[in-house]
Amino acid sequence: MNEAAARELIGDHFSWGGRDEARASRIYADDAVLEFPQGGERIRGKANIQAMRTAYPASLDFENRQTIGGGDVWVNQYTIRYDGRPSHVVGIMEFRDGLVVRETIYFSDSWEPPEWRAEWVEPIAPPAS
Amino acid sequence: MPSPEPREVFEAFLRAVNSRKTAALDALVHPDYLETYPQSGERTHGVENLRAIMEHYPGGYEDKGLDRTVGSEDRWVVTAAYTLLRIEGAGDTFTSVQQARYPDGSEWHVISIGEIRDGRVWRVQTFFAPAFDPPAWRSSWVEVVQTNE
Repeated sequence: MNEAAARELIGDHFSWGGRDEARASRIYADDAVLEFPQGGERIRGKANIQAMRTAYPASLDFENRQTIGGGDVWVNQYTIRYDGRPSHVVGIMEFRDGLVVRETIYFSDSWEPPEWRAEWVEPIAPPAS
Repeated sequence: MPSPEPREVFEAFLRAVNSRKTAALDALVHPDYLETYPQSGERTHGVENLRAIMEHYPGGYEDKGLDRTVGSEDRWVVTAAYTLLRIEGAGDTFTSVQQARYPDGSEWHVISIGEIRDGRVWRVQTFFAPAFDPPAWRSSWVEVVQTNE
């Protein structure tokens, strides 16, 4: 998988996500599998992925913060705001023949830095507050 | 001596952290090591700070080391508190997914995106994601499976 092609597909996916799910779903192979391991959930097939996202019961706003990877594995780190509430998201995309065949997505919230390790860490501005 | 593969370096780093083998870190961690926790906005710079955090972790780790290693292909490794589920990637960038059980019984997925430079772990971004109940609204398109076993 060529890096420029991967980044173009991923950029297109995120720019249409939440607005036009048919367009955003062009990145998936017909037999793609999407997993949300935190809920033990698996969605099989591009058609189901698109239908699920179209039914999403909240307005979504994507902000892709970083895409990093190589070969056929690309990892996106982004913020989703559900009706304005931010969630940090990591999605691992695995490509085959130029399309995503498996995506694994994890969701996480912000938390306060613990005091006990403050002397060894540097604070950075929380990106999604 | 041939240099170890970047994937092996990252896996060795994860094992060392999980089993609290701080002495092993010097050979695995890049001098310009930087780990970021985007959820809390914390950044740890250098092996000495990483080591200090590991040594001062409240309540300590369950320091029982690795129980077993099964299957080189998928790299399943079981520890007392952490289970390394998968490492995906290519080139110098790898993403690991681990399952963590905390003493309060809560279960988390811990996702680390690692970048290897000069044969050592150079950048790590780590995310902590709690288990949740599958939402009802999407149940008609979803099969609920154990994706972690």
